[in-house]
Amino acid sequence: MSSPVEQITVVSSDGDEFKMTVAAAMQSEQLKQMLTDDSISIVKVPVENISTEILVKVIEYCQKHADHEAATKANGGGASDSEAEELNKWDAEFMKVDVEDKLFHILMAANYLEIKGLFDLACQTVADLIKGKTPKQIRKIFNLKNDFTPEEQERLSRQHNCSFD
Amino acid sequence: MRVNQVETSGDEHGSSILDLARADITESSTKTRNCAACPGSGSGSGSMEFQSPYPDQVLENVLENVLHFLTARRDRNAASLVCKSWYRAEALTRSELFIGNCYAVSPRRAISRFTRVHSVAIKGKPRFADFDLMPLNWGAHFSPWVAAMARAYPWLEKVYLKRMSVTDDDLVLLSESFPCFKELVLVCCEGFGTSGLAAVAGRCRQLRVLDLVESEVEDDEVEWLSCFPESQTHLESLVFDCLEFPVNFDALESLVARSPSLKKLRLNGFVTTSQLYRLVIRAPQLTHLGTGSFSASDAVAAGDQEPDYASAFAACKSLVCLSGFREIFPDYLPAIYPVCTNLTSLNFSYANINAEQLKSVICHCHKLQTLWVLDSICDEGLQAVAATCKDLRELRVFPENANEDTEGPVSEVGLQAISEGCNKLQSILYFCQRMTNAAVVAMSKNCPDLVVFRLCIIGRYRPDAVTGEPMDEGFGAIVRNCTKLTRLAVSGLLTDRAFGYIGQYGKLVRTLSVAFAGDTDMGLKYVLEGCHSLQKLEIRDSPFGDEALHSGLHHYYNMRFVWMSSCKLTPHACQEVARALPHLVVEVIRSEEGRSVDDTVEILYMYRSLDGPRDDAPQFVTIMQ
Repeated sequence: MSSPVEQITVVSSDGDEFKMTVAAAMQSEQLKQMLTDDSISIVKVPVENISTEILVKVIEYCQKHADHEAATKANGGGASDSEAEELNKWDAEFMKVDVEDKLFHILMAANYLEIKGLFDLACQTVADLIKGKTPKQIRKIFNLKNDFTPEEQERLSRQHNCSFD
Repeated sequence: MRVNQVETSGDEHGSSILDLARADITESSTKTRNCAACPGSGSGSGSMEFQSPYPDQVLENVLENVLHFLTARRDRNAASLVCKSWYRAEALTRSELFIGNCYAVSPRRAISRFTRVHSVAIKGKPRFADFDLMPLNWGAHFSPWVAAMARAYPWLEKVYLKRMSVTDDDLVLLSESFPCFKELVLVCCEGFGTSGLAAVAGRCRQLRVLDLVESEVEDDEVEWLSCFPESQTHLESLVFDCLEFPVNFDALESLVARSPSLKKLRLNGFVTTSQLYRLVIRAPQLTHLGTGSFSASDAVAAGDQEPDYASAFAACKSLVCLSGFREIFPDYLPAIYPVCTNLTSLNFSYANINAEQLKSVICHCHKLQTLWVLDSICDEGLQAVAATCKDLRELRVFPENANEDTEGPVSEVGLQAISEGCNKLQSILYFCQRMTNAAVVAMSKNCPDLVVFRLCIIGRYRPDAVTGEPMDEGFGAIVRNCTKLTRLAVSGLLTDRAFGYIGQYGKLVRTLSVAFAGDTDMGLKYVLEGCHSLQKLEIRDSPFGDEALHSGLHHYYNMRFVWMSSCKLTPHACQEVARALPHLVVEVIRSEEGRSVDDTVEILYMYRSLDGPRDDAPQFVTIMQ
């Protein structure tokens, strides 16, 4: 059931087109399913809620991890410790985005495309951002609106102080 | 150690009392799930766009995944206050529930907010109950909690209880309600016996941990150890060193033999040394061992050949923690030499050994981080500890005889030595009959990492043994120099100045214990006004009265509890506190039934509560209103 194409094209919500190798595309469960379904002939895949900026990052991740997998297979099996460490370092660098809600969009993109590694990585990174912060600081990071009334907020605060902390 | 970041600035200054008992946030009309949870497009231009490319359900699922990586309570509490959808997602994903005071919140409220809990920790009575200061049957019943959880948390795996009253029926219900149950830890609990344990052993097929720590267990003469399943068990930890009656040794031996994952085993004082030997040779994989009695076996008297205890211990290559020695025969000490080099934790607090005997062991213990000892080792023993245990983090020195009249085997000399040798010390509990400011000041300077400093000078109002001065400067130095300090216990002759220092410098102190100390009400006032992080205050036999109590009104809602016994409080003053702070439960407790009522309060125990006063208070408790 191998696909006859070697590349697919994905189209961002901004209308820009990007080529992805099949190996990279297979990092996404969504794209993988499309590729392995012979009844679908793919030319271009629109990803409606992923902007160009984010899509570029996602493709970069997929390509890197696809290359890593291929190299591992070529070496006959499991990655060595140093190779795994190198990939982890790359992942850590990759997640250093300049603006935090970019991070959030990457997370959502990974969720939508079902790229498990990137999804877990992004979840962990977002969680690390939250650690040690106050609610106000968290809201600022993710540009979220506080929809509690002041009364609700203080009541909840006291609930925590009182019982769950 | 960080100040609770969830507190808003309004908390400390008596802002209007809110109706805490009103409906939970989840029941309010929060149908507007969308916009609030979505980030605006692009970064920080200030105005929030109310449209989102992502449907709410997707956002919530993603958020739940993110929150799975958040385990610290403070972080979870902060996340839940971000906005309503985060509140909901956090409530759904919190799997560890911690209840610091079982009467601060009702089981119903806890289970209605957190619906997918796997692990529960509940604390009940205040700590002074350990010293028989709390009358029996005061409360802290596990029953309503286990009943509520049996319905709400079918996937419950872990229960940790501290100072709770637990019945056999509770344990039976627990064993019947949670098919995945894995860990039961009961610390300072009472009210149950071997029949309850039998139910847990017999029915909890996935059990990994059964730890009974400093708990009172009734001997119902049920052989609970025989109730474990006959096949291999999943047991990793079995702790029963507090049991004051024999267990069936054959059942124990067989259990250990069929528990290949067993890492922690702490035996009670009825297990003999030769029995210990038989267990140790079957379980060389142990990391934590409580040796039981460690007493001279009958073979010694008969002059018979004894088993090779040293080899048995030597085979335990992974042993890092040793305790027990309940009736130690010091001649057996060489048996443990082979494991000393790897030990990080040693508990000799039941071992009546002298300095020489301790030295013979401690000289091998270079990696020791935790040491509990009896003062029978004397200052000389402590000097040996200081010389060898450079990595020591925690030291506890208990009194063999808590007798006020003796000169006492440990003193400022031992404390000074420890401070000079063990610079990484983080936690110390030190009982002595004499102390000096100089030694305490030295410790404050030499051990900057101290988080816990508890000094118990036995004997009332004892001054500096050399200068005759109060111990003010010593404790002052501790709060001033130990910038990470969160827990402090004071004693000895103290004037208001000592408490002034505590209030001025003890900004991170969360727990304060005062026993037989103090001068005027000003002392307690300084503490209540200055210690902004204070959560737990326990005072006994100290001359603080109504005016001092009144001065803390602005802070009591921020605290977990206040305990004051044998102080100078009147019922009227307690009543005033109750009236001023409706969400504080103010309990006045009489220590004996039928005692004539005079105008002093024997025990005041007060704590904040979301759900009003409890309905299970016994006769000798008056809840002020």
